[in-house]
Amino acid sequence: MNDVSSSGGPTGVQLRHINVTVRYAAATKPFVDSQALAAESVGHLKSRVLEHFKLQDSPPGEGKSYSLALGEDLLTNPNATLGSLVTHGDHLKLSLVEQFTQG
Amino acid sequence: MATELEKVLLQQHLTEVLALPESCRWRLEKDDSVLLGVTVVLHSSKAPQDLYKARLSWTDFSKPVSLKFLNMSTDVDTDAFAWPVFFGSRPTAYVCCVPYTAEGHVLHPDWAGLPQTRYEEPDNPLLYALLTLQHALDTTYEGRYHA
Repeated sequence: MNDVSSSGGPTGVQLRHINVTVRYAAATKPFVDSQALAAESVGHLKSRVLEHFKLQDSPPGEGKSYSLALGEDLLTNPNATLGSLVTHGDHLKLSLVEQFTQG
Repeated sequence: MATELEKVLLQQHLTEVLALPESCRWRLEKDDSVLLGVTVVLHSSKAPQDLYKARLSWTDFSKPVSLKFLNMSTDVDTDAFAWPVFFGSRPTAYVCCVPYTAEGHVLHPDWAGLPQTRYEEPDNPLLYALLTLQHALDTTYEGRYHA
């Protein structure tokens, strides 16, 4: 599994809006925000997404923990901006994944 | 034991899943050999040529899914070579030992009582099982099991 850790693009670019969709496997309908700021951080978006799905992130061993992912890559840098993750157009499709243990 | 309502729900869940763009990756069919289940042919994005057939079945939708990989020709669920090696899979025991499977909870009864591993019924158990399994295959697939 790769980590995505980019930290943002030119400031002017960050003022634009992008259309963010976050798929969560346990919910039929995804989180959608068509007016997300490109300057918003991954960490801030994750907070909004968890609140939307009524979830709480817990430290390892104490409860369920979640990560945002872009394709197969977990977004491990909470300071990365959404704008830095968009490769073309103004759409960003992410998923919220639960971190499992194995027995 | 699956109720008539759950059989109707499975059909609704299946219809919902087949309408999603994600489903174009799967060959998904209702499995009439079990009371409440489907079969799906899928692959990891790491190796699209490696096809696997999985049976997803439930005793009821409030419980985790039973996950078995089947021999593509015979449908037997006791062929270790039909299993992919990925996060949680134990091909020679024919189980995937993770908190989203029934087999994981059978092997770890304590998981039901722990906040990090207990199963919480999703909106659409079929979609949840498919997306969770697909993500695990895409991110942790190591290859087909071989002795």
